[in-house]
Amino acid sequence: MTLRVCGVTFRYGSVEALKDVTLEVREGEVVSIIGPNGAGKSTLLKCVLNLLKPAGGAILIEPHGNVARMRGVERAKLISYTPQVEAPSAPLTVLEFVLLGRKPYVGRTYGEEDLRIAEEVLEELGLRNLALRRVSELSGGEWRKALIARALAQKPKVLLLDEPTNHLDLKHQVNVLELIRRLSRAKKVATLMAMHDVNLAVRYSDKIIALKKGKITYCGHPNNITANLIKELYEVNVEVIKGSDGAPVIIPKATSGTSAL
Amino acid sequence: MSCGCGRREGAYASLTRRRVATLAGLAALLTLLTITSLSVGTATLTFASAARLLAHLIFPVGAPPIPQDLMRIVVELRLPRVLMGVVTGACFGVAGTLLQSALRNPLASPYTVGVSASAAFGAALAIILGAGVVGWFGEYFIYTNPYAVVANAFVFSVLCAAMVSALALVRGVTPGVTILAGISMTYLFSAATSLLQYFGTSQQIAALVFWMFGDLGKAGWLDVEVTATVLVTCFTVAMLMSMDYNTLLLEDDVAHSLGVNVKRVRAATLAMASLLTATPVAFVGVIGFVGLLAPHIARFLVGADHRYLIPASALTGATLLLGADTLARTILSPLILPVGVLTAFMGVPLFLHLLLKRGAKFW
Repeated sequence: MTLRVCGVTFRYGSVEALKDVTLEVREGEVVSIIGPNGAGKSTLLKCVLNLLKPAGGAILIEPHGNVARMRGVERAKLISYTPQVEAPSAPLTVLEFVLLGRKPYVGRTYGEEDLRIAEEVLEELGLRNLALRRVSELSGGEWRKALIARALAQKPKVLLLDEPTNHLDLKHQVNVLELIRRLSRAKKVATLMAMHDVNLAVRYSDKIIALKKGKITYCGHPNNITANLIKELYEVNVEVIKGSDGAPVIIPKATSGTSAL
Repeated sequence: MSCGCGRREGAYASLTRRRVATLAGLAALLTLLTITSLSVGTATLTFASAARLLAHLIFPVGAPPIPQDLMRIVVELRLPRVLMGVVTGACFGVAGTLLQSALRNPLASPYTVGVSASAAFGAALAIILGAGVVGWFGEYFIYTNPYAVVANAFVFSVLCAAMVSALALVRGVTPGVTILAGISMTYLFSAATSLLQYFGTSQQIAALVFWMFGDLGKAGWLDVEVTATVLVTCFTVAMLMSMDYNTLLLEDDVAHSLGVNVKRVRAATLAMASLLTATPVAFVGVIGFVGLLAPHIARFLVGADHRYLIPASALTGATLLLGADTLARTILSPLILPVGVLTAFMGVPLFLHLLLKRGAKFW
């Protein structure tokens, strides 16, 4: 199973938000999209979800077919999506929230199977003791995991995540990304996520895609990221050094003329 | 692992059982209240004979349990009023829940789509000008046939709701736009009603004010039947869509990712809520607060899963309105207070109590 984005172009009115974007994510792979605000990261995810209709190109999930031609329920069984959500607002318990991921599979009520799957996912993410807690009472890290649990309960082939580490402390950033990488491999899910934190993206992804003004400027292994690439992308001077494990670490440099303050 | 799973499935099952039990409790409460409401009034019945009468009406076997003349008072005057209270309250409860969920806004109520002001305008048009869609029969007809006022109120409130929905649909059905459109239509129709009142005679204005108060006493059997038909139809459709409503508790984008057509659900909701509100309002006038309050109490009792929330809101709305009307009939008996006043007097303290108890976690 492979997610293929083929020459996708998208316009908001007359503004081109995505220009001829081509990429692929294989099963078990974690691919991060990096780039400045407004580069089109979220737009790309929404195009894959068929929430936004591309002006050109196609999004394929092989061997299942073209996403644009699928019925909503059919698509929902293949692709799950976790948006940037700052705080939980739904008046639901965690279990009910996770069960909503079973929506594409159920009629008007949940079956034994759905409860079992929700159960398993909660167990996997270490949320089982919180199952009957209201989502509004969760901490930031727990809420993020609940979001991922709901996405996994959908049993997707493609996992789309928009800023999965937003508003998390360092421990939970690492925690959540390790979880995503482990589950992607174990469940053979193709994971595509938009990331702001370049260092975390580099450390936890199999492939990095750099997007600037809707165009891909780099697509490849995280270890090949260079200072020039980052400078071009974010218009910031950086230094790239090798960490003890060989993975690059990106350190921003103070712009000339401004003090360290 | 398997025994752990069993325990948790048990937890979900007990959650479900608790909700079903709560629904049964609400239904029992409403039944008791209905019997009580039937028994009180100028011609008093005992609770037991009111219960026997109700049973006799549902299963007409044997002789009527009470004297013929008393039976006529109760069946022809009191029963339609009581049932109209139940049906209207249920309509407002369901409409409020559907709108709050579809617009994802705890402040939404059945009047969010502008129905109260437009219904009042329709009534004003009929009462003051003797005009409007069914007003061409002339003044005499209107005063002798209240259905001219009813039809006018209904047509204008549906018209207003349709305009709000159309505006919202054109702009992509975002909740904020819908609410703003509803508010602006409310202002427009209120201004138009004020203008009409300015030109009305004092009797006409008194008649209009009396109409706007909201009074279940106006209801006859036909009104009950029509409203009940609307309620049953919309309730059934809403229950069939309850899982879709559940996904709307999440972001629109996530609901879409779960395969739900968000626009279609929202459009269906606006249509159903308009009918559920416009129909009873046309018959009994504007009765406030039940449609805002009932969904919140129901959510407090059974949670946000619409498979339980929709029936719970219907039962809560019915109980609130019937309770308020029973009080309105008895508190200063033989004087009957307008029920709309009582719903606010009873509802606001209850609502504030719940808000303070649950605080920020209310919604």
